[in-house]
Amino acid sequence: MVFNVETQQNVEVSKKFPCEKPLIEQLEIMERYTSTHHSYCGKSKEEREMACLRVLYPVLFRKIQSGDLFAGRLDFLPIGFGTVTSLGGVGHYCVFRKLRQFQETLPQEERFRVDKLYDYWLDNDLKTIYNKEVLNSDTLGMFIDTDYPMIATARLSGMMLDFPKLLDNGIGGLRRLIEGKLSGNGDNEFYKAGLECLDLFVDCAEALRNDAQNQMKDSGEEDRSRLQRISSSLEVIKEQPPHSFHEALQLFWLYSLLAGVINYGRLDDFLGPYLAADLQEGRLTEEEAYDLIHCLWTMIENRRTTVNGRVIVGGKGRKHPREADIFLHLAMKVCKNCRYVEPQFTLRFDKDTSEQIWDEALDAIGSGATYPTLYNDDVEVPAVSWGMRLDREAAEQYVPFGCTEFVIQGQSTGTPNICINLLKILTIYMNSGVDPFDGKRKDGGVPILPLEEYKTFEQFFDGYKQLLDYYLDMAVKAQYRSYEVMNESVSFLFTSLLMNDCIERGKAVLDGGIRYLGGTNETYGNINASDSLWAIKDLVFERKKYTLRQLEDAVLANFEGYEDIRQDCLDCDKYGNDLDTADNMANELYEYVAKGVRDRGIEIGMQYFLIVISNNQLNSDWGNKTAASPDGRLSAMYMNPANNPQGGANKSGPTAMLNSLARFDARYHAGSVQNIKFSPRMFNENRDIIKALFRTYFDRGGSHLMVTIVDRGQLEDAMVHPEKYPDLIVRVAGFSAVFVNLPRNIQEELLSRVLYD
Amino acid sequence: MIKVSNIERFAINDGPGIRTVVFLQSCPLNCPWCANPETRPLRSDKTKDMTVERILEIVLRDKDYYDNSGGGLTLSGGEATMQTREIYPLLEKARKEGLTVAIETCGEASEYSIRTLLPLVDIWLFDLKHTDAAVLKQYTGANLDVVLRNLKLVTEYNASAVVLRMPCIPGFNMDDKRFEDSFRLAVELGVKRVDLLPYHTLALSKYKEMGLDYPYQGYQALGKSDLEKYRMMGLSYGLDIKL
Repeated sequence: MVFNVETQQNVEVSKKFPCEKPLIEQLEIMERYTSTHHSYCGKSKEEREMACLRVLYPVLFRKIQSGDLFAGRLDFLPIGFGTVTSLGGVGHYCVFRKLRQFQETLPQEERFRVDKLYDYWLDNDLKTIYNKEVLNSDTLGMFIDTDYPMIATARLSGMMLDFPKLLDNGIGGLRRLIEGKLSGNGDNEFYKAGLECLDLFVDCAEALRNDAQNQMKDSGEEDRSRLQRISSSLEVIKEQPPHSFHEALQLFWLYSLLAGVINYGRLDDFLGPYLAADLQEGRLTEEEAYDLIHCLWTMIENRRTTVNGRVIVGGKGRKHPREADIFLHLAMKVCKNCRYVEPQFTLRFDKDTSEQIWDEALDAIGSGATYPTLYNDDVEVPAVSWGMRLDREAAEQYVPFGCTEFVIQGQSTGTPNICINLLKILTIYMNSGVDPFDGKRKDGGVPILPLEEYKTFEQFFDGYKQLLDYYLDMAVKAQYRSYEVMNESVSFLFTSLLMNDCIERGKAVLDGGIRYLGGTNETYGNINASDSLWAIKDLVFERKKYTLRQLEDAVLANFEGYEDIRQDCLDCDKYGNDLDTADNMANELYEYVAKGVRDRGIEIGMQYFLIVISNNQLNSDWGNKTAASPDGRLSAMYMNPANNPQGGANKSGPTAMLNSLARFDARYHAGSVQNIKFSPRMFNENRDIIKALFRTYFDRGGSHLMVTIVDRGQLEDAMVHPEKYPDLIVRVAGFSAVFVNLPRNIQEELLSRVLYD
Repeated sequence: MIKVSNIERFAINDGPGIRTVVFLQSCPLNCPWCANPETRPLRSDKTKDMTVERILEIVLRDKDYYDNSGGGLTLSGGEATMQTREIYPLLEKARKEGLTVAIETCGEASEYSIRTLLPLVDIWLFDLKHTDAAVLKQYTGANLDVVLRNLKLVTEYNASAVVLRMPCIPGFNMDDKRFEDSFRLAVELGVKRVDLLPYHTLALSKYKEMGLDYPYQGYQALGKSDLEKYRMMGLSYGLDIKL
């Protein structure tokens, strides 16, 4: 299997800060990492991980920046250790594309040193090891190679740690927990390495404290007290549980960095009590609290993960709802005022959510912040409970990460390591197994009948389902194998220590430590595929206006010379208009795929494996490599975003679109992104109407909504005059971005979406 | 069968709350600025003949949105009362389903139509285009006596169910006297709410599509500020003025 190791591995819209260290020092760190990794060959994976982590930390911490109210900024190099593709890479990683770019910046005479590293990591980069084993030449490609109908990767995205455990115990308490376990189990490598992890945490806190102390020497009075607070908090959290909001924030943040997690969980619930106590005791003014949260927002934004940075507030199952709401209200203000694309500020709500919270949320959204995104607990909690096979108490701890995928905070994995393009598979199926886009066979050996053989729509649909089955079989195996491959070489020690039940079981997260081994499968082109199926059913089998062959000829010609057929295809009922015809078809395909994925996950032994209709910008990028389709979509055109209609296909107003969106039973997915776009006039001058609109949608079973506010003509103008729109934020699908930073193909897809004005 | 030009869901400017507007075919007037020229004849090539059940099926899909927003069904046109016999069973059934019903009318309707519809209509969106009979006749073909008779009928039945709508058309009715007369009339009849509808040119593209010349050339669309003076005037009459 040949693949290009320099393929871009993830969506990256927000540009990261360049590493603070001089180039040669960066190179030396990567060399040190590489030689350490090499010399620990033959030792346990835990020892190797610890030794490698010690190469990276604390050296990769940046200086405490002026204005930072707590400490912790990290750099990443093209070689290192991590959990996700959005920051650094996965396990012991090398991001070859970035390593090449790094090489270009070196003086000519030093470049050969990079070649050595490059070669070493070809055999040792975790993701490459996985790719070599799992990918094949025609049906399963690597992230993100859009020539394939399905892509797979190894990563551990979306870990939401049990931060309450960290805050309750402190580092010292965790240490005692592990020591207690170790005393009865002296050679447990996980425990031994876990203790070393905590030592490393202390070293990092000490290094940052030294930095603060050093900087204080030449600082003015105000900066000195800022740095003094940082220094004191760092001293406390080396051992003790936090006593103040600042200490809690510092502990939480530093641990997040070391664990490499980029989604943060229910901050209101676990930080709220510290905040509330400080406010009540007069240790903190509301303004100071606001500034601290604002700083947290800045620190999260500055990590620039593009599609992560989830902060969740509100909802069922909070242990400290009163204190949590204090955090929530301040966070709403911060979110509205700072207009960052990250954190992805997320509001969980239910029927008991107060009018005040709703008003704050709609104000923030109406200001163009695109946040908070809205999750309906009255629907999601029972759905998660059923879909993931959990009791209600566990289900109440669901949290969306990344583009929307759900995990159970501190208790489950949910990484989406598979993406499937349902539309591409349909175009392959209709063309006897050959992808019309590049002429390559991608049927995986599944027998496909000539189109003339299908006498009924059901026969035709069944054939498509058989091809889908081939891909779904592959999906679950590739997902499961990704966990095994990761577990063979790493323990994700920092993450494991705060995931239940790793400490209790003495096992790392993917080694049997995690309470609920879950996973997700991203699906794309859902609606183009179902609208295509409806057009086929309608035009070929019901109205008998064309034969399947005629339709396929038109599609293969990209409708050139078949404009009348394309018009008929476009005129067929489309999902998003509250029509039973197209909506039922969409639901049938959805349930087939969703249940197919779920059943396979249970069978292979996972707690859950569920589809997510999440969509970063892959609907556009993958659409650009997908042939024309019977819904009237042209070759290389973007596909529909997430669970929404194809841009412009919904012509019956927002109630009709929302009715279509609310149709899918939320039990079968672990997150489904629902976008809606209003003009400021419509949204802000008709607030009561908008409230009623949203409420009704949620009452009807709508699980989620995220809202972009733009003026008519604004996006068009921004494409011509980007300099005029430096802070025009849009919701892409599962992430927000500054519109003018997006590539043109993505901008075009966003523009195609209906604006309710 | 009801002759329908179009059905618009999530209409928020034709009565309170979230509504579905059924635009009916045919109108007795001939306003040169008409925004829905396609609805004027009894039938055009896009006209749909729809049963009461079919219309209701579409309207009821948003029932819960109406309930949560105080909205409902609005019949518009064309002139909805031109199909009184046809819409009567629709309104009866709509009310049975718990929908509130609004009707937009230009007031040019038979007494029979108005009396027939009175018990079935919750909100009358009643157009008063002018108070000068000759000018009204000349521009629109409407008969002011008929319009006023009908306006009295509906206000006598239930004045609080009536919203007086005043299209504000430059070159036609933008003089103080017309506004004064209209506001005074509203007060006399016990109407509380008056909507000022600024002239717009959104229909130009429709005319073009239909291959027609737009007959009311030479005027710019009005903005809210153009009507501020009349809004203030209306407020001084103690009316609830909406723009």
